[in-house]
Amino acid sequence: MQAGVAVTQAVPASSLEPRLLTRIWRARGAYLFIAPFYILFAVFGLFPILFSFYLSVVEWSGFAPMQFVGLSNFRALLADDVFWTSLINTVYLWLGHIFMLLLLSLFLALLLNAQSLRFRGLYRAAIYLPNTTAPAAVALVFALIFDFQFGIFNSVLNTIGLPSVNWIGSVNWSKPSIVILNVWNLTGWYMLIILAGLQTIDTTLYEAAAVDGATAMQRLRDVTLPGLRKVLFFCFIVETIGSLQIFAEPFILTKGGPQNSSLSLAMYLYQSAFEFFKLGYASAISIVLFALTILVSVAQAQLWRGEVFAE
Amino acid sequence: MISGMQRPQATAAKTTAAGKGRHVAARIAIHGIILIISLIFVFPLLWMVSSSFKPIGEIFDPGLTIVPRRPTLENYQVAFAALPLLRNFFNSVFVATTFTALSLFFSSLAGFAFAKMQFPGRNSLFLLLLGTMMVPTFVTLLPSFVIISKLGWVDTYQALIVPGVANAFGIFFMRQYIQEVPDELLDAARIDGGSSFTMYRQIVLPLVKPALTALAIMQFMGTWNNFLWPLMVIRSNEMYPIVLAVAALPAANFNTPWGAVMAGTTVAVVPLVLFFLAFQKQFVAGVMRIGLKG
Repeated sequence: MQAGVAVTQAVPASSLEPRLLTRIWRARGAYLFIAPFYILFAVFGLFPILFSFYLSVVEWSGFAPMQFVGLSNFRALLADDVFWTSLINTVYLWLGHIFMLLLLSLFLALLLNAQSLRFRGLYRAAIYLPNTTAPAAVALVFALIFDFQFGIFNSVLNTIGLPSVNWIGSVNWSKPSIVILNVWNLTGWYMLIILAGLQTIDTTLYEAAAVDGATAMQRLRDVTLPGLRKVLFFCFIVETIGSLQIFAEPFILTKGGPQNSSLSLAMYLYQSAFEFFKLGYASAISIVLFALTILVSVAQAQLWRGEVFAE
Repeated sequence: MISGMQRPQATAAKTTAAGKGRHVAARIAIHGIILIISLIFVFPLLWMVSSSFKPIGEIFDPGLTIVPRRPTLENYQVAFAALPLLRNFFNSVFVATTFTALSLFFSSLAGFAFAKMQFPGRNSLFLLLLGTMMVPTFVTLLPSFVIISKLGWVDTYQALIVPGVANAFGIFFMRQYIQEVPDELLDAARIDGGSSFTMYRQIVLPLVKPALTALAIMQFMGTWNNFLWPLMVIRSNEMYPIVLAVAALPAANFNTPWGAVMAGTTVAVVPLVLFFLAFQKQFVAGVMRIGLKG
């Protein structure tokens, strides 16, 4: 068990290079430490990735034997209107909420960063609370709040002189309803991440800016925001990957409707597998989701490198 | 720790009386804005709890009545009669606790190996781990489900616990913290003849307690709130975690029993809110530390 830690220090690089097997044997303690994790990881992390590529080229109901069908699942997807609708909905939900979410989180983080602000902890906790709740459960609360006839949201709108909106029951408003639930649920989390990012900014930069007589807006533009680029980029990528997989919110709040207007890609994948028993087809959807995630992440990395990381 | 927002106040305080007046006004404005936003964020939760104690007629009353005029426990009785919610609640506690304990043990053990041990293949194994962190969960979902059904684990606790324990985030998180443990401490222990496991248990674990606490809170909340995976692998009402049970409540009746549904969601959501409030300090400190590493 003593092996791991000291091996490289104990054997100077100049001495005889021990054979690989010997080195592995000496480090057996380390392998023992990572084994429990890696065994599970191999079964439930790695193998499924490869297996899903295989499943995407077969036809399988889950009961009868699998049949190899080549790329016909993907061809069927291209001709499937519901697939395109769900893809467009997913992109809508992603772009519809991410800027609002991150701007609001940034705004709140900047306000709540001031050490001198009283009740700072209380405000922070209040805004963070929604993030502790299960989206699947609070979606039910929002269903009550959004109710066309009796919901409190519409009665507030009426009070300030606006007409009632058929939130979850209309093609136009089903997606915005999900966006509202999403922003409510996630703002606290990103606010906290951005607050953490604010602590990493070099304080001498603010002192230098103060000496130069910079206004608050100038400090924000020239010191704070550049100091946050890495964190904001991280938030953007993480939230993109997360929101492309959105499932529980539409599944509970709108059930994908009306007329598939809020059906997400992930929901369609679930339906294909567990309602229509087309596991191969569902896997093909998951591969599309995977490709979309990679595409969007790489594109964002390029975009941010070009515009934000440029010194 | 000096922030952009604090500076103007610090300088303004030194200036004239007019400046002071403006400073107070600005402060009131800031509090006003944050207070309103905070209330909006807390409102749906307040509304949920409040509605859960309202009789049916009152739930649909227009107007912002937070305190029920005729409070009742009827909704809770209906909810608990419709589904085995106590059992569902226990399921969630059991699954989330076991999952968190296993995940913490495996992640910290492997995190220690990656941070402080040398072994062939260390870097490639770690890169493999980081690479899979970018893969959407949905890609592994169906194959994992197939494995679970081949194992005969459908509708069991292990189906809820085992697959997720192998999440790359835990190892990544623990490795970051364990790297900061000074090597001298470990060297001293080695000279005293301690094994690697002794070092892990007696030196590393006590030093990274804040990280373990933060990770534990995240893993516990994540498991408790998970919806899709239990939806796939759990079939019977008795085995449902509480979140899934509550989501099934509206479907159990033709007309949604809103009072009972709000009672159910309160049971599913409020314990976690209290759990967060109890461990808030540790949680926030843990998240802040990740940020400090950039």
